[in-house]
Amino acid sequence: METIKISPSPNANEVVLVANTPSFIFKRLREDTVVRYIADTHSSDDIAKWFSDHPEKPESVEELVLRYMYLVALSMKDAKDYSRLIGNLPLGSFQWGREIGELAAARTRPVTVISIGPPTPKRATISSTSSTGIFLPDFQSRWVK
Amino acid sequence: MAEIVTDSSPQNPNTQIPLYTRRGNKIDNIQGWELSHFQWSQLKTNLNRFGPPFVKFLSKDGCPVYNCHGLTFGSRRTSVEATNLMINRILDDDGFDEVTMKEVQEGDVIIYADEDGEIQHSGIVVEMMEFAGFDASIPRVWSKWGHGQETVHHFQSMPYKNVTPKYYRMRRWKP
Repeated sequence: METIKISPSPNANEVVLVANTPSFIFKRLREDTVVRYIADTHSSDDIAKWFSDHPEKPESVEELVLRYMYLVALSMKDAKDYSRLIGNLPLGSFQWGREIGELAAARTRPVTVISIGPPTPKRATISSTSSTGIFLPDFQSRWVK
Repeated sequence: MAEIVTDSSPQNPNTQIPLYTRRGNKIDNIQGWELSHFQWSQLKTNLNRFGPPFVKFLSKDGCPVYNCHGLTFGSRRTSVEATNLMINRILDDDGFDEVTMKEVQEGDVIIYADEDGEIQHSGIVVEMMEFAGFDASIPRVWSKWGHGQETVHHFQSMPYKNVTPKYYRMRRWKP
């Protein structure tokens, strides 16, 4: 099978360049197509092996971006795999590695729901959704030069 | 004197400096020296989609030593830790009060929080723009985009998506 070399996408580069927080990197890289590709085409162990095949400390910004991409890709894999592998990754060797690892752990933590007690009779309910976001009008189209 | 941060590269170690709020609480910060501004400037991005008239880049290259909060609250000296706890402490300790969009004026601070309420960006309002057909002025903001450049931009023209702005003015001379 031909191995495809993964390079940081312009989007991933931009996310890391403009990031002020690790959560920004974590949230936005989960939407990146190359990160999705890594998650879809690599096993969890392959991703962990990628880290062991590379120096712990990135020597360039591209290497830093790739570490974030592979770490976020691992967070998109099975939660048990993530928990098993994350402790062996050198997250302390690059900025925000530990923080992103913790964010990913919180996101991937498996949740077990146990129902206790007799079943309750179903009741008809009316549900509604409401937006808590603040609407910001598109002022750009009305920009006065 | 700048203090070396222990787990950074021995070649160009990151450092932190003593920085305090008006009330005297320590502001956590880090000066990033590990990767040079030249390396950051070589990154291929799509930021060229931003430009006049909504965005003006104030320099060709960015600077990894300070971040947006370092510009807003630290006079470009360092990267201020970008947690909600830290930013809210600075706002409170330095005597900032929230103002409404209608009250905003030049010199106010703008803080952007994402859909989860996490603060992702900050800047300083430098101009209130008039818009045809609107009974309101729109802020133009001076901010720094992470490790990248300083810009002056329309308050919504920036790479931080799904964020909501809040505005603050230093009204209390004593916290």
